[in-house]
Amino acid sequence: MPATDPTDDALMTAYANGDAAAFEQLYARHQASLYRFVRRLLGTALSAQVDEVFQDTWLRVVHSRQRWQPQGATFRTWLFTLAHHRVIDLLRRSGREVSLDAFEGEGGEPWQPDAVGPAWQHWPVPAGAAPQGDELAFWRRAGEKLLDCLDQLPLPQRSAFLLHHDDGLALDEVARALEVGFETAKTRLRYAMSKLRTCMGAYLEPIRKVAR
Amino acid sequence: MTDVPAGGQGAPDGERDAWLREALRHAPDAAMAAPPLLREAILSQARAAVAVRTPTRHPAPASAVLAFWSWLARPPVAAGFASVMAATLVGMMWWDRPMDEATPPPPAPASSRAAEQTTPAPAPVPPPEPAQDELHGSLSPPSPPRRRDSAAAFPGEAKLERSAGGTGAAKAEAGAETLDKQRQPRDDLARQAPSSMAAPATPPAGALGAAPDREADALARAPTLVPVPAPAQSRRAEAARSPQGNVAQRAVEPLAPLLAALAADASDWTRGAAEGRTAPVDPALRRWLAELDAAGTGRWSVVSASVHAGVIVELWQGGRPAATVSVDAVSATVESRLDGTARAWRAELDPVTAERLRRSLPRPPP
Repeated sequence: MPATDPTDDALMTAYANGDAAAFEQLYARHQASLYRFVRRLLGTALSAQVDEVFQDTWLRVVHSRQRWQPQGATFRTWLFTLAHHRVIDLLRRSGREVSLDAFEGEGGEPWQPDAVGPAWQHWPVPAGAAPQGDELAFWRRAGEKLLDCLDQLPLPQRSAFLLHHDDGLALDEVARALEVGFETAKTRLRYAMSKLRTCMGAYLEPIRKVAR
Repeated sequence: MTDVPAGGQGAPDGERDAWLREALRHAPDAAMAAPPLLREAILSQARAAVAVRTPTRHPAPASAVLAFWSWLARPPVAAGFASVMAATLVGMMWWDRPMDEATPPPPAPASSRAAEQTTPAPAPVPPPEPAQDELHGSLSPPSPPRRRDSAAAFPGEAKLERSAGGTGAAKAEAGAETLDKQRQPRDDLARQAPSSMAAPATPPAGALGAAPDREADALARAPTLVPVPAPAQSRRAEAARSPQGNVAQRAVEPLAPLLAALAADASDWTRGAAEGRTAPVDPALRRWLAELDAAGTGRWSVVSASVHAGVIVELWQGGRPAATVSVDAVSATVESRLDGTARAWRAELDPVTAERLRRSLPRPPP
């Protein structure tokens, strides 16, 4: 992003003052990540409602433009907070039990990440650039498997993981977006990652073992 | 490769996992975006929200009036507004008016129609004459001349008209015939009078027709003989408006037939005097009875047995006792045997009226 580009807060302020073009810029910046976040948060079972939640989130932005204040959370954090609320509303409307407890689904006991084992040791090194050949095929399979594993996570852990890993929010922003304390967000994230490692390790050979 | 952080320990916040992030980056939905139609819908709504915001925040006066007018033109709003306006108009029309005036008047009974047909139109009031003073006596306070109407000249006359026609159409017709017959002599008298007196001299009803000529002449020329108290008039009017009240009025007014009989043939009547003697029924006594009738309008109730106290007037017809009227401190009692059956009525009077009636009862001549 060039240095001359206005910040999200400036664009939102401009839109609140009647500049429709500012909203288009905001939409262009965040629509992809927001759409992905909503889709992964809803999971495959509610994928048909992704468009509804996505549109509703942006319309909330439109209708709340006068009340939005640049201080506090950034626009991006606020945007994901709105989306998170809409997802919770949809899940409740659909009759699904929505628990905001980080340990939901663990029988009341905190999940212990003791299942993290040697499966990681044979995974290829994340290159950061575009992988080729077998590595690309591996990561595509890993991506598919990760989506399956995400569906098995409780909503609080799933949202914490997605905000942190997919959307790049820092932990304090994750906590603010989920409207929980920092330690709670951190705990949710840790348990989500441990579950995902266990879930994916059974299918993917660890790379570290190969490296040794 | 061994330096690759496992479990994300090398991440800035210590919780990022490079492998999971890489897997996310290659997930099948990583390149998904909102459909173009959805994008257009969102952007158009965002533009519309900003576009309509400016005129709504500072609407021009003309546009505000137009907006109000268009809102008012909606059928539900217009219907509601019309209903409120109609209710307001009706409320204003009946503002500060008694509710009985808001109800439609009952159909006029046959007797009233007959009386109206036999009653001449209001005429100019003639100047007072000495005969008036003679008939007024001490009972009638001096009052300015007023319009003669069908019920004002003599309280018993109006009642006679109502009573004569109150029990049915046959009675109404008979009453009308009687009134016509009784009016004939007075019409003759009126024709014989000077032209200036002819028009106002027409009496309203036939109750005076059989009175002595001197009295008839005086009564015919007197527009106001005995002023009926205003409350009695209003009570009569209210009772006349209500069909039920009209029926009740006829049922509990015992003096009306008595006055009618007196008016029909006063010479046949006498009143009890001292030491068992009798005296003729004079106009003063008839006025007193009429005044009592007016005072008791709407107050009469049938009683099983009559107990007379205070001042007592016994009336005889053809030598037989026909009625007994008494007034004590708080009530009046009437016992009538006109139709051969003795019946009694009692009316509560206010003490002032009762005292006035007791004091004003004409004494029989010695």
